Amino acid sequence: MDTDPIAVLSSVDFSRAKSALSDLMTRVVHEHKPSIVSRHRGKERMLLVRTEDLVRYLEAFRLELEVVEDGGEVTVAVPSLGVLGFGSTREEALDDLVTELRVYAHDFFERSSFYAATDRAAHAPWLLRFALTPSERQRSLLDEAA
Amino acid sequence: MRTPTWAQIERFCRIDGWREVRRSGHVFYEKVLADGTVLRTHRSLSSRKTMSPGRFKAILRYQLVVTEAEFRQTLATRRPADRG
Repeated sequence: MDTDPIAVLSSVDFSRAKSALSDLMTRVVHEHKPSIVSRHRGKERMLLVRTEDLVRYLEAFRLELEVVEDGGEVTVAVPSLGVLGFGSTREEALDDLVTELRVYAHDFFERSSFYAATDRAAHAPWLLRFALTPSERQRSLLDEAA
Repeated sequence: MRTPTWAQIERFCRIDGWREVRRSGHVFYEKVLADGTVLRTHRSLSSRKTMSPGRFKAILRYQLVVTEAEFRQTLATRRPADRG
């Protein structure tokens, strides 16, 4: 594995990564060492990182909520993402918001080359954190802001 | 405040040039503004139901990005909203 003395993260060429994928994965997953894989002389690079580590790195990206209760309806907004959840109770609106965030996160990463070229590219850390959180714990991410 | 039905929200989106991007439970629309800003909204399938003023204001502010007057004007004139 190449280790550039200047680089902070270790980097490995694509062909070497393929032949030593098991070792590379052990390094990333068990030793918690993010690693860069590159090809075409470093023109294309990707970062491998253990998902649980990435969730921890993204912990600061908390969803800020705004709750409106009006006329027997509850609307919960994530203003920074433009996502709304609707319900007749707060709990119902929060559950709906989780569903809407799942839909948006799915669409965002499905059409990531489109969104990456727009103002919505900045939504990526919040949506990635949400997407990497197990579905049964996604609802609790909304309670962080409450 | 007189609030719209979901059918009127959909009508606004059609006049204002929003594109349907998903139909699953709700119908989702997107619009790319001239400055590249991407807007996204959805409408409930219960099209005749109205909504509370608070909910309408949240939709206007965070999704459609128009004032109530601009929303009404778009429906009345059948011309895309002028967001200044």
